[in-house]
This record gives sequence, structure tokens and C-alpha cells, in this order.
Amino acid sequence: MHQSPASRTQQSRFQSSSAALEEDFVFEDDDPSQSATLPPTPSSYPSPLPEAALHSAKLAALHARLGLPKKLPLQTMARTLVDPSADPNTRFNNASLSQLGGSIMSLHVAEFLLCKYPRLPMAILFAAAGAYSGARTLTIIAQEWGVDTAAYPGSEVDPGLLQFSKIAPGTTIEDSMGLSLRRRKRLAFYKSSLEKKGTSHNEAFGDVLPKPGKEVDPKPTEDAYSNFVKAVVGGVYIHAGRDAARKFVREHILSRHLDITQLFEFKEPVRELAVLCKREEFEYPVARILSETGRRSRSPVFVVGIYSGTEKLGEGAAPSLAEARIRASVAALKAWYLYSPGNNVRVPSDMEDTNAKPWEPVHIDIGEIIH
Amino acid sequence: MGSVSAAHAGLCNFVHRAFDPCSARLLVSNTSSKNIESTTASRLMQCSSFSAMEARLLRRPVAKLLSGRSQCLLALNAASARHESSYRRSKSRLNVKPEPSFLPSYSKTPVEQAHIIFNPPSSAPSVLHTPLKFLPREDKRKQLLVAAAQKFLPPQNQLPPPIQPKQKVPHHHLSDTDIAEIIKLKQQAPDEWTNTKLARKFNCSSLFISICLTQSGVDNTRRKKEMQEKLEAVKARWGPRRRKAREEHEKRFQLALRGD
Repeated sequence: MHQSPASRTQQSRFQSSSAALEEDFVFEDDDPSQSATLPPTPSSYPSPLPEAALHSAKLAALHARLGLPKKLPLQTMARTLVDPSADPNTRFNNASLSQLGGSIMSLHVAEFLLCKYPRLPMAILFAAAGAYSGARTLTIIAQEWGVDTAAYPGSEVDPGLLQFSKIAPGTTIEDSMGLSLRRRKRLAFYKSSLEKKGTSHNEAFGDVLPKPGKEVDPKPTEDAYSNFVKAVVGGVYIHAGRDAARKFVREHILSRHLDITQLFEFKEPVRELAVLCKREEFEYPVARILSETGRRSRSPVFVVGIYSGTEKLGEGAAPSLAEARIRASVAALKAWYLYSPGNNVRVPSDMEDTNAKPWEPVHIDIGEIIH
Repeated sequence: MGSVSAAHAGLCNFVHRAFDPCSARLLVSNTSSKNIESTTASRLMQCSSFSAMEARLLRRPVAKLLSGRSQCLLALNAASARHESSYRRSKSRLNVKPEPSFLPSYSKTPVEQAHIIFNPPSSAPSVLHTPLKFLPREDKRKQLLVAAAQKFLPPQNQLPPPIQPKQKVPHHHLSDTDIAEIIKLKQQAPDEWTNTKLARKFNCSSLFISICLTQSGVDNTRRKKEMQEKLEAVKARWGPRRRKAREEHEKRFQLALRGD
């Protein structure tokens, strides 16, 4: 792990400048006389001192650019930029804030998706949640915010830069994923179950984990960036409260456009639609030719509609009847899965507003089609 | 078309050369004063009321009648003559004035109207528009849409034709003896009695035959392997073009499954 002289001197750092002014601090594992005789130079810390945050133009600019509430101090803002790989001390890195912020973010993303598209299949729901608040998206968000990375972490670095230790070249990826022991154990468990069952799911977004032994790209930069964004959400929540955190997530995460219709891929759409119609007690779906041109020519076009009874469920155009039928079935299935009660659907956290209207239960679907 | 007289055809050609219906009408008055038969004149009147394009269509077979040779036909056909610019002519002919209601409000002669013209290009309907049938019961839009459909849409009596007329195969009509017969035939001559042939004989679906045979433990791995080898041999004979076409076909179907 990252060896630093911080363990010797960490007790003389404080999270806020007001705390640093107090003279009667307690040394727990260090000799006070030794500290007094040897005042620590600033460069001996693994991350910038909290009071340096007040003099960083970058940090102040970032705070202003994001329109963060005034209640969120710059010192906390500076702490969100320190990754555990830069400073292992949990009192000075963003581990706790990112844990909190990640939970808040995934709550809002999940309730938004579940209320807006109540019929989404599990895999699509995970993919959509990953697209909204996955590591890669959060990295893009942080880079759009204008956050740069420090070349190497240290106390002399500007606190407005993201500080983390990059994986040294030549390290085997499997030992150093920057994961906690608990997470690593869980990964090992999932990997073993993967070997047994053939597929498995990651805890957050249902990603299928790569098979053990298969090389994956190291993602420490993405992890550091995503932890930073989560930590900002956590910081807003801690200092400015629930509503501010919800507003922040809505404005920065949920406001992004995601074309959810592109996430689907079916294996047997015609059969799946037939099963759906049977389950919902609709008439058996029949493919009908709406129009066609150039049959028996080099480039024909068939427009096929899928009808259940007299009602058209989906429509597709293709150069062959079979493909057009598949397209029409896919369109019908997407139309089923992408049912939405409306654009401005209420989510449970809206009830936290003062004088909120009484809650009306949202639509809860019985589940995806199993065939 | 074939009944049009030669004289008529020649006049038509003349009218067509004039290109403008107005001048054609003038021509008609001139020719009628020159004592042409009244029947021809009336035909000519009809002809001049056609547009220039239709007149050309009318002229073509007659020109064939007139001349046995294609060179003569070329000489008669004004549009295909080399020295004339046909592109500009056809372009200007196709430059039709739009319907006045489609003119934008900033045009010289805007049409006052109280409604919005919504004329989108034809495209596939969006999957985000849930069909009425797929709306859940408690959705408020369901009642509204049902009421609107009853009020405004005519009842749909005639549906478009289905892709393949459903083959009527009777269900649950085979007895245990029939099934035993199926299995016996398959075991005796597995190459001769294919699933399709058995299905035709017993008037049931080949799916049912395959279910019967797999459940009774008839081993078809050898035949499957043979068929697979046959297919591989056929595939090995494919040239680069057919192989490419097949690969593209495969890709198109993959895209269709994603709905892209």
C-alpha cells in the first residue's frame, strides 16, 4: 500500500481552519515534544492541508461553476478531490463522502427509472442506471466540470486538482484494482459463481464480470473521477441537506439524455411477443403486410405490421418479409417495455417536499416476459 | 392507343412540339379553319387538354407504327434529340406550383387559415408511443383514447392480408397407435421417413413429430451430423460474393433484433 510519513504527523492536520486554531489538541500515538521540536513541513503530508483550500483559485472556480450551495465549504470540496489511493487516512480522503453520495445518487437514478419506465427488464434497467451513474459517465461529467488530475499526489499540489495514485506500469491488474478487501472478496465470490453458472452479475449495474484470467483495462482514473463526483453529492447532502442533494443529482446526472430505446436486444422477438400476448390475454399476434414495393426485384421493401385482433402493436420495414416481421415484433416489444406513465411522473422522494400532494401509487409491472 | 389514326398522331406530335397548351389551342383553331374533319378536331381538342407529358406518351406507339426503324423514331422524339437539353426542360416541367395552403406565411400570397398543417415525412412510428392495448388499466389515457377512437376512427372491418396464410393443422387428433406408428416408421427407415414426410402423412406439424421422436428416444445425432456436413460442403462451395452476401444478411438480422 501507499507508504507515507502521514502516519507520524496526521494528528496535526484538521479538517477546518477553525479547528486548527485551537491549541489544546491531543496526541494519541505520538510524542508531543518530538512534534513540537520537529514541526512538520507541508510536503510531508500525502495530500494538501485543508487550509490550502481557501487559497486555491481552481477550487473556488469549480465551486462557483457548479453553482454549489454556499453552505458547502471549500475545505470539504478539497476533500472530495482526494482519492483513498492518494491519502489512505479516511479523515482526509473522500471514501466516506463518495460512499454516501453514491448511495444517494443511485437512489435517485433508480427511482427515476423505475417510475418513468415501470416495465423495463432487469438487464435494461441495470444498463440504464449504469449509463446515468456508471463510472464512465461520471468521469465524463467530472471532465466536463473542468476537473484535471494531478500528476502525482502530495501536499504541494493545488487542492483543485484530482489526486490519486495511478497504477504503476507493469503491475498485474488482478491484485491492484484499488478495491477494498471486502469488495475483492465479493468479486472473488462472484467469479467463482460465474464459473459455475456461466454468467453472473456485478452488484451495482448487473455487468457480466469478465472471466478470470482474461485481461481487462485498468480503470483507476475512471474510479477516481467517479468517486469524486459521488463525493461531491455526498458533500452537498451533508452540508446543504436532502433537497439540495436531490436538486444537484437531477441537474447534473438525470438531466443527461439517454436514448433508452437503443439499449434493447432480443433473441426471439416473435416468440416473446406471442408469449406476452398470451400472458396479457390479448389475441394472438399476426403479422400483416401493410404495403410493399418491388417484390421479386433486387431491393424490395415490405412494411409489416403486427396486429393483435384489430389493433396494430408494431410496425417494421425491411427488404424481406421475415426481417420485417422481426422488426415489427421488436418495435411492439419495445413499445411494451417502454411504457411510461408520463414525462413528469412523480417519484417517492417528491413527497419530501413541504406541502406535497398526497401520494398516488405508481404503476408496478408484474415483470418481464419469460419464454 | 393502337386505334389512334396516323393523321391524329401527326397532329399530336405537332401539338407536342408547341409544348404550351395555350398555343396548342390556338393551333386547333387554325387547323379547324383549314377544313379538317370535325372528328379529328374533337380528338385534337381532347389531346390538347392533356399535358405535354401525356401527349408524348400517346405519341410513342404511333411513332412506332409510322416508322419501322428506330432511327426514325429518334428523329420524331423531340425530347431525346441530342441537340436539345432535356434535363432543364423536364426540370422546368416538373416545377409545379405548390398547393396554396402549403405556402409559408412569409410568401407573397399567404393563405389565411386557422389550423396548423402537420405533414411529416413517412417514417416508422416511434416505439415511445405505446399502443392502446399496451396501456395498463389504471392509466388515465386509456379511457380517453378509447373514447376518442370510438368517436373519430371508423370501425376497422378489413385488416391487411397476413404474411403467410396460417396452415391449418389439426391438433390432438393422433392416437397412441398413430404415435407408435410414427416411431416405428422412423426406426425402420430413418433416412426415408424424414420429419416433414411424417408430418405430411399424419397431417400434423413437424414440431409435433420431433417432440414425439425425441421423447421416445429415437437417436437422430447421426442424421443431424450428416445434414451438418452436407451444409458445410455447400458452404465450402460458395464464392466470395455469395459468402459476403450471406454475412451481410446475417448482420442485417442482428441489427433487426436490436431494432436499429
